[in-house]
Amino acid sequence: MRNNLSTGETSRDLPEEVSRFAEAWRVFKKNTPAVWGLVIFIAFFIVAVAGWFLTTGETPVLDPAKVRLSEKLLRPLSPVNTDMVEPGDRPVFGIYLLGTDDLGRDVFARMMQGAWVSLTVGFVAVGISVVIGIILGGVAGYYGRARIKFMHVLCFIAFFASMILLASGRKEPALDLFVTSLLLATVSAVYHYLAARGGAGPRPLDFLFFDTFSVDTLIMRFVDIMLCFPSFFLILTIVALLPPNIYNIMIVIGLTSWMGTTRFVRAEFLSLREQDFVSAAKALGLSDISIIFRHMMPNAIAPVLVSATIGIATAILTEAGLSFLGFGVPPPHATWGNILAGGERFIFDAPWLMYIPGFSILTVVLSFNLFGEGLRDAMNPKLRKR
Amino acid sequence: MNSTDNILLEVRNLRKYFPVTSGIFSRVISSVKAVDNVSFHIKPGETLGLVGESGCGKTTLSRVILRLAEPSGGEVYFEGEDVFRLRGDRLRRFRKNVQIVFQDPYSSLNPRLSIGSIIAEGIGAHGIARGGKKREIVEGLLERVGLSAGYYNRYPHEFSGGQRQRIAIARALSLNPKLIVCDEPVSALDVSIQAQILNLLGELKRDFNLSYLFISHDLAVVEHVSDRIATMYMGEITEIAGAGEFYSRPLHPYTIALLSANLLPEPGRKRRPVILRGDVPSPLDPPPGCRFHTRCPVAEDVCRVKRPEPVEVSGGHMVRCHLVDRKDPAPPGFLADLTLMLHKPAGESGVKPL
Repeated sequence: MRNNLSTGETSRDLPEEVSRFAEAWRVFKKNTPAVWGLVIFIAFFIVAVAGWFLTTGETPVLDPAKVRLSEKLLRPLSPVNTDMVEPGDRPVFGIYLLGTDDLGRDVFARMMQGAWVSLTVGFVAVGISVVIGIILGGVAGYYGRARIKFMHVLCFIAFFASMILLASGRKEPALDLFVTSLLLATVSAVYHYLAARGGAGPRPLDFLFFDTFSVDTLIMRFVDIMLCFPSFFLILTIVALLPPNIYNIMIVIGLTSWMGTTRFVRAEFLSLREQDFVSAAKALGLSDISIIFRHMMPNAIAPVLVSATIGIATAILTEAGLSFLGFGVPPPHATWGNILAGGERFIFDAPWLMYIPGFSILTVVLSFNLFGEGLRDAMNPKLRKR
Repeated sequence: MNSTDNILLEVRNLRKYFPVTSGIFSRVISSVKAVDNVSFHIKPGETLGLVGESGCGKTTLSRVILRLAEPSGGEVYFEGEDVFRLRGDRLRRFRKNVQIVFQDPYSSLNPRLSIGSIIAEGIGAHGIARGGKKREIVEGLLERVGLSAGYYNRYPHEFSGGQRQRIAIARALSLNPKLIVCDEPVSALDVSIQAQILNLLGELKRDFNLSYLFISHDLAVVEHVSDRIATMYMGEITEIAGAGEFYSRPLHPYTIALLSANLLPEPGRKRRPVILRGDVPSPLDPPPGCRFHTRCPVAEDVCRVKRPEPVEVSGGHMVRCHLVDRKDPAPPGFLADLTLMLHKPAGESGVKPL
């Protein structure tokens, strides 16, 4: 028993389905620099993966570590001197595509190996920073208004103090503090269990459970503290303490670059939390997990992806800078940064040793930035046609 | 409330204050009393219209009733259960029974989910059905609210405002609730679409035996759908009456002013409106005495000093005004003058079927 009024509006058909991806691509491909950025990004990806395959194994096709002292500082495209170099040591096609360095190592092979380092450093470091950023930003944005009870602060102080003591080798006070923190945690758990069971009204130990600062304050002030340090010097300090290898570099860069993502995600969550569809999801009785991961995260992720793309460029630059200063991946392994550093001494005799890695870094970083900005425009709903 | 039996939702002295903080230690310097001592009830199958101007606390009230915001005080009972103490399974049952339709259909649907999964979400979360059965229910709901079942995989951005509001209504219906809070469900829509949505809500009320708390700032819309009507001003309920009595014998000066500003449907006919002077006072610093006295055309000295308490003038007709005497059933003289300005034939509807 439906009258015409309630159905009249829907008699016409909807326009063809247009997916979000198609819509974003339509905007993206109008942006020529961004398309070039994407093309170079893909090319770099292929080169880096190829570099990894070609430079590893027992007898790599391109051997970046082969020293040929007779072939020092050859220009790009120089043919190999067949009199001096044994057949097994010769580069493929018998030609040094990008010349050789001061030890006669094939720069092309070293660049290929370095591309893989840059790629993995970029992706792993940004992966770490995005994961940390999303978790901390999400917690700050969604649960930020919750206030931490005094007892919980005590509990965490005891726990962290015990961990620090343990790390510094003093086991007995560490154990004492650890037991104390466990005790405090048990007391809190019992308190909250009783609070959930019982009704309102004062309870014993209430004086230990007064509200202190909010979760949001805790996380965002920690972000501010982290941002206070010039990140490059923070990394230098940590790298000086840790054994230098490629994995430590990735982790350290990741652990010092999550602050921007945290702020992004928090801001997105703060605005999304007030949206009606989140209220509707709460009214439907959905769990917090489902609200966060089904309703908020997919809507917050687009700007994070954009900043991650630009973050990869920053991570590549940071790694190159570290390697250039000699704090990066240790020498036998080639990276663009240490090729650059090695070439610096021969800037007048063998300028290609600087120009090749220098321009490679420039090109890749620029392409990532252009791609990232194009992505941001494509994700911006205001530029879409309705 | 005389008939306490058979009440679906009862709100008692509900308060929601937003603290205003200042300084680095977030000292609470004052509070905005968005909802202040609000009491009313809704019976099964009944529609309570709630009218008030922007910022008077209507939306906050609805959010607190649904437990989307924490109350500052007071109680809400749903089917006799104290809503603010519900936990676990009983809270889930409350969620299933009380649903909401929001004002803005553009922000109330998640742009990343297809409308099928938007409507199916609650059904899945409450374990009502899964798989093909769930899809069947959702398609049934889509057709029930006047959309095609083939829209299951479409996304919200492909729909118009009215269609989106239908989707939001289908989502609210998906859990087969007893009460739906409609928070200005038609304010964002064109007038012709408004009529369609109102008619749909009316049909659904009959078919699903629903009750509505229908919030609006449009008296014509409220008149069309409501059994009883309440007006709200600065966080307080100023008057509650049955729909007929509300239009034929309004008592609170604010109600009279609102009614007089309402357009009559016939072209050329005009009322002499009761013009209210000034603006709504800042809710940060509400006036002493009656909240309305700064704009009331008939305010007396007592209104400036003493807060009026709600008085019941006749069965179910509550007014919060010093000048209304419960012993005198006829409106006092000044109110009669104001009422005369409403040359309103009784029983005429603001929204006419097109």
